[in-house]
Amino acid sequence: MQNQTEEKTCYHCHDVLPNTVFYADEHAFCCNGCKQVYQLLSAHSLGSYYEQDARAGIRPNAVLQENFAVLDDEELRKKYIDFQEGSIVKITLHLPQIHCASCIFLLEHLHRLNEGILRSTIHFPKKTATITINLEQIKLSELAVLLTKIGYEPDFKVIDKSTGTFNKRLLFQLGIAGFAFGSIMLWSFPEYLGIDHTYSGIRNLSSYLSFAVSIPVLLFSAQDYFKSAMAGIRLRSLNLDIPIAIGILALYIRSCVAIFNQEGPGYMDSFAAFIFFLLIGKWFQGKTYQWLSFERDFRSYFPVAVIKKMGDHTVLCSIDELQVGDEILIRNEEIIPCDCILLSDKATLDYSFVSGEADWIEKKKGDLLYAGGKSMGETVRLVVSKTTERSILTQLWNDGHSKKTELFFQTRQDRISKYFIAAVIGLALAASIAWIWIDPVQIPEIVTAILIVACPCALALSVPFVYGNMLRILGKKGFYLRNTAIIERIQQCNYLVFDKTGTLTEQDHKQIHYNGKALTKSDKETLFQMTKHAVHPYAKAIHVLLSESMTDFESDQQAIEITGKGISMNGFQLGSAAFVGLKEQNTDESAVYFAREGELVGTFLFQSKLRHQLKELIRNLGPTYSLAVVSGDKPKDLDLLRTIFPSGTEFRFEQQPLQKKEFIQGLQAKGNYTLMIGDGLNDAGALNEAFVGIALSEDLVRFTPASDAILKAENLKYLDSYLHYIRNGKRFLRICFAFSLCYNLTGIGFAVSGQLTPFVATILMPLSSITVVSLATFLTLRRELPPHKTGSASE
Amino acid sequence: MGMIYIMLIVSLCLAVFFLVIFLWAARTGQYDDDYSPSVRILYEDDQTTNETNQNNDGNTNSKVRQ
Repeated sequence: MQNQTEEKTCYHCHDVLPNTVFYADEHAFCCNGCKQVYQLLSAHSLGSYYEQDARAGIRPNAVLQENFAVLDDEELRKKYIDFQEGSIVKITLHLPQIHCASCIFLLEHLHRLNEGILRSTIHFPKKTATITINLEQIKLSELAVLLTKIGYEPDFKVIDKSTGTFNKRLLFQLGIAGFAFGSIMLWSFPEYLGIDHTYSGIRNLSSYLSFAVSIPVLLFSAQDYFKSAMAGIRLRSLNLDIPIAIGILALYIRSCVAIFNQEGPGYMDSFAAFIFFLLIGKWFQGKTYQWLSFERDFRSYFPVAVIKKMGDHTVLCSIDELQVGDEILIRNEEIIPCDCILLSDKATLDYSFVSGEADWIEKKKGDLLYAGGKSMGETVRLVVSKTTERSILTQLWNDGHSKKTELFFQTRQDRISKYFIAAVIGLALAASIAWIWIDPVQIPEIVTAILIVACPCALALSVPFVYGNMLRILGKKGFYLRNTAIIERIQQCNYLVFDKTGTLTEQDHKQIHYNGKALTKSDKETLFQMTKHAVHPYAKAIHVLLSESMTDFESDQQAIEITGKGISMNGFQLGSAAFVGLKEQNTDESAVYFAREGELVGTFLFQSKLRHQLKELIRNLGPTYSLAVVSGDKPKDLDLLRTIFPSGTEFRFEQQPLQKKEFIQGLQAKGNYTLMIGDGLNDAGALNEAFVGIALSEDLVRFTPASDAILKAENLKYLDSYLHYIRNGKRFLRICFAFSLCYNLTGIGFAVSGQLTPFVATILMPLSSITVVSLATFLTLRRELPPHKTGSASE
Repeated sequence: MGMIYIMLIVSLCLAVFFLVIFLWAARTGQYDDDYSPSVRILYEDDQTTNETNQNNDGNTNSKVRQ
């Protein structure tokens, strides 16, 4: 048991190991950072620190440098550079792989790897590195290559320099409120201890001081609540900020009256504490995942620049500057940035991310290639036929972003506040009527006291703490929500829509099924030879499958591959039905036929591989939600999907992105709240249209379309637990609401009977807030969500 | 009781002093990254020589482990 847990955690930092593991000296590491640090240290103890080459074992990669060539272009790199003076350049790079202490250690010691690097500083929450280099010693592209080699590939697409201003303002507000709260409380101590008119000098001084420090709290720290309340009144929608604003004002005015009547500092301490607690709630709720981007636009999917051919030489050209008629070169695995016409003889393209079609597509010379496809294989030459801005894909994206019709969405909190306000006003009226007979002079005092204690401070803290905590807990489990409002939205959802390619099926992985006569050893050897040098992805896949069970051997037989059709060797044929001489029987493009002398031996069927434990997930989701699958792919996996989805599930295949979006629209028109789960650009429109859109991400580094939440693909199998937990949030919230209302009622008891002294208010208010906050923390923490830290999570 | 007047003023001055420090720290972005400084403080001095590093390597190991 001891051994097992050791196996599963990083040798260096003891984090749980991810899918890709780094090894050194038979120890497993979670990241290259940990491994490098380990290697540095172990080399260290041998007394050869500087002999140790941190880059050992990694092959220099010239292609890599070409990918970053954009950084060496004076014009193109301008937007990435923070500052340049002479040959000294400061650049901020987004390195999505940063995740632990070793990463920081390694990246801040880059200067030991290359003398040209003068200084590097990591910003951990944003996952950025600010690096100062001397261009005379290291080029920017070399820096990028160095970073890539040590495992931190820079992502040039999401540098956002504007974040943090909201947070700073909140911190200022919080600081001032905290300062006022502490000071006023201290000065109010004589009051609590029963100081009276005998010491009116001290009493007045502390009162006026309290008044002085409360002014910035009212005008600056509390201003957002007043603004929100005003907006609520103007729009005639009651929100919780209205009773809060009324309570704050009642507290403040009553205290001012007390101060200027020389009756002590009034409720100023409660007032400051109140704002302070509310702001803490806001700050807690405001947690965002700075390093995840929920709002990526099409630009971040495309390359920054492409190679443009001009006569005999090539230049690097930003995709914004491409003109119709330009000739461009696209290398292996690069993305086509605009609609183009193919000049090379052929090209193989992977459109799975854009259209949802899983199979690669062969294109011939003169064909029109749409933007967004990934070129597989050799470098291809293209002529631009439409600029990026006007490409089909870009237009689709812009269409997808035709701002979600701002659903008038009232949060649960706002719905409650309606009754709350009515109840408070009713109570105040009733109490004042009753006091007409008892003592009419006291009426204003009673009314303000009711408004003060009825102020829903604890109620207002429930939502930030319950949902804020859930947000954090889910984030730890690999389910990142954009903000707490998404939690309430998910609770309403009743219809789940899945994308197929990349969501239900794994990306890049296919299962091969063989049907037909049993293969003899010599058949296998022939197949092995035939596919050895093949280019077509299916042939390659067959080769990989065979090589699992046999060792490589040399043969002088030559296989002839006819591109896009098949391979023949020594009377054997492998390829499409037409190629092996069969009458097109059941044309299945995902099948490869194997024939001997024109006689069919067997068929290799390529089937998408469904994600692990998908069956269990669907079984658990089935009773709660209506389900649907929409796919851009052909309906070849329909039978497979039917076996795991319940009978009422709606299947839609060969759906264009726009049709997917319309499907969602149709569901919502019928009154459903849809939750769409997808991963590709083809889902972008649907994700945006759906009530909640969840983007699936393999490694959080890869591009994801704009969405409300991002889910780690490997955790999709736990989606039912997450949704269940989120639905439970309603109950957690109700319990907190009930508790805070109890406090309000107790307070109103004091107020109505005319016994609410500043001292009682000072105790009651923080007490209720603290109870609700700890209750919220306790309730949300109690649940155990998968994946668990150790055990079944990392199979 | 005259002492109380002075104490009130002193407490105000102290609180203002801390408030100014807090605002300055928030303004200069010291609360932006709450994690890396905790790692950074554990580095050995960069300028130390090879020999001193060797003597400390055992410590470094355990420290960097968080």
